[in-house]
Amino acid sequence: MSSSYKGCVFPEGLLYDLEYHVWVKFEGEVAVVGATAPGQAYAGEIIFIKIKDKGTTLERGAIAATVESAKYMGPMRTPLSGTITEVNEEVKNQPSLVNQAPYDNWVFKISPTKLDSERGLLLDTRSASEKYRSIIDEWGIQCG
Amino acid sequence: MEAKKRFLFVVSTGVNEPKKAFTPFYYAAAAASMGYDTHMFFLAEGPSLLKGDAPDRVRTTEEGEPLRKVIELALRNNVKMMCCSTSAKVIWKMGDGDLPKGVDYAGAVTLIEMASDPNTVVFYF
Repeated sequence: MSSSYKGCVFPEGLLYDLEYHVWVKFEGEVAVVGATAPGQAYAGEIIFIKIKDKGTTLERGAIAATVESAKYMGPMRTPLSGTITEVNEEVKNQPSLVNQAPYDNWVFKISPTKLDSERGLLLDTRSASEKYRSIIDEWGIQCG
Repeated sequence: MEAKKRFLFVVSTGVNEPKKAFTPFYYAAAAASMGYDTHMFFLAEGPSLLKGDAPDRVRTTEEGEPLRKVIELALRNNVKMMCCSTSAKVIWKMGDGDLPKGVDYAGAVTLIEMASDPNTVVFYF
C-alpha cells in the first residue's frame, strides 16, 4: 500500500534516496531511477531536462541529469554507481511528465556496479514516507 | 587526464540595473548543476547586490521573487562566490561582516589568475 503526506505519494515496491530525492525500482540487473513526488514538487514545473548519455559511467552522487524550471535549477544525482543503460526519451522531450506522474515517468536506467554497498542507503516506502514528512514541511510544498 | 572545465561569471552590474541582476546567478546555478566548477566574482557595481538588504529588496519586476532566491539557488548548487574587496570596501563601504554567508572577499590577482586559465570560460555581466 502506498503512503502519502500533503499530497505527496510514496508507492509501495520502490526504494527511495532521500539525499538525492530519487526513487529506484529494480528490473532484473538494472535500476530504474526517477524523481520523487516531493523532489519534483520542490522543483516546480520542469521545462528542460538534460540527461547524461547512455553509456556514461557514474559514481553514486554524480550528476545524471540537470533539471530546469522557471524558478529552479538543480542536479538529479544518481543513487547508485554504474553505467547508464537507457534514458527516457519521452521525458527528455516533455519534461513536465515528471511533474504529472513522477513514478510513471522514469528518467534513466543504470546498471549498478556497487550494489552490495549502496543498496543499504536506499529506504523502503515506510521509512521514506516517515522521513519525508519533515522535509516536506521544511520545503513548504504540497504535491499535486 | 583532461582538466575540469570551469565557468567564471564576472558581475559588474548592481542594484542600479535590477533587470540584469538575476541572470548571472541563474546561469551560474545552471553551470554548477551540470557539474562544472563554477565561480562568480563581483566587482564595481556588483557588490551592491550582496550588500545589506539588497538580496531581499531587489526584484526584476514588482511582483517578482527577491534576488535572494537565486543567490541561495546558486549557493545550494555549490557556486563559489567572491567579491572584490576593493570595490566592496572603497565604493560600497562594506565591512568584513557585510557579505552573505558563503561569499568571500578576493582581490584582482585571484580574478586574473582564474580568467587566465585556459580551461575557464568567462562570462561578463
